[in-house]
Amino acid sequence: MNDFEKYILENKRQLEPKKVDPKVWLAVENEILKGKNKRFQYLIKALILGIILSFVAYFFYSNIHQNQPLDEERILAQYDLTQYNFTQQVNIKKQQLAKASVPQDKIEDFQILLQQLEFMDGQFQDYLQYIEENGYQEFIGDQILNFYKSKIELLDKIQKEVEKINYYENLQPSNSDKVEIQI
Amino acid sequence: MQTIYEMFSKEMMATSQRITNHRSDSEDILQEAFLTSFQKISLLKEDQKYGSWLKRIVINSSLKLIKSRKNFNSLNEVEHLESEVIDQKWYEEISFEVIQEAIHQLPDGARAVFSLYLLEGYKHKEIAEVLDISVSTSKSQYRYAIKLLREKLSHSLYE
Repeated sequence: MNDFEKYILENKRQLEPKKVDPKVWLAVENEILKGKNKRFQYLIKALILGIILSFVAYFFYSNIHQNQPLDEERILAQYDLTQYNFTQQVNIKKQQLAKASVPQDKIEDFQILLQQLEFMDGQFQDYLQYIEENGYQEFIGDQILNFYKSKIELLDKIQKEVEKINYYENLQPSNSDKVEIQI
Repeated sequence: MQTIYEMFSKEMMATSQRITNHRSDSEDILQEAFLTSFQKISLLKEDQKYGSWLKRIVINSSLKLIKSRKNFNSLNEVEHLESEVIDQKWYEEISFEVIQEAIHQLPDGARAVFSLYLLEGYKHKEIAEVLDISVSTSKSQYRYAIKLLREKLSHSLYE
């Protein structure tokens, strides 16, 4: 490298432009801002998508939850309502009735009692639903205890009705086919 | 980011313009190079290397541009160059504006080789690779550039 080359190299900075057109930086800055805006837009889109998915998941879960019977045993156990053994009593009575049969032409006599039973079961599900959503309150506990007492009474009533019908059937057979009571 | 830009923009502009010999093209290259570097700055392991990394982007883009020009002739070896006559510090009387102008008037290939070798510190082997020429062509183009510069600048002394 001769002196001339050395001179050029040493004064390299003198060969630089005094300034660069400001439009170059403005263009760079503009592109950076566009990129940031794009990222922000992606973030907003992701956020909206997240919210929509959460709503969908919530409604999906609620729907499933609504369609499923409430876990009766769990709720009763949670609030010490199992101590009365009502569920056991109800189950025994229902099993007995499931085995019972009456003449077909008498089955209509049970319809009102069975509808009453169905209505009570619906009410009971409402009580459980109330506890699930609002927590346990004493008046609901009382309602549940009353429900079981009423249900046991109703099942006893049905049982007695079955026995009465079958007693008279034995005395004076109707020749009608026997059918089971659907409980 | 603007501070980084201010720090490097003039040097990068000079580097690119010496290769492209076109201000507007170099401005576009600078814009793209800075943008790319800012977007990928997280990939850089050592901050100190930012300058050389950026320069590499600028040089590559500038070379790509001149190679794509229709009037960019493939470089050939230049033969029978006269040996240089070294006068004592003859160039010191010449302004840097004139030197800069003389560099810009060099033919594209010779100017690119001159810039890469003398001002950017490339080896002839590297220049040969980036410009797809032989090492001897790079060397002869460099000597040719120096000869032309000397001639142009000498003339300017008598004008």
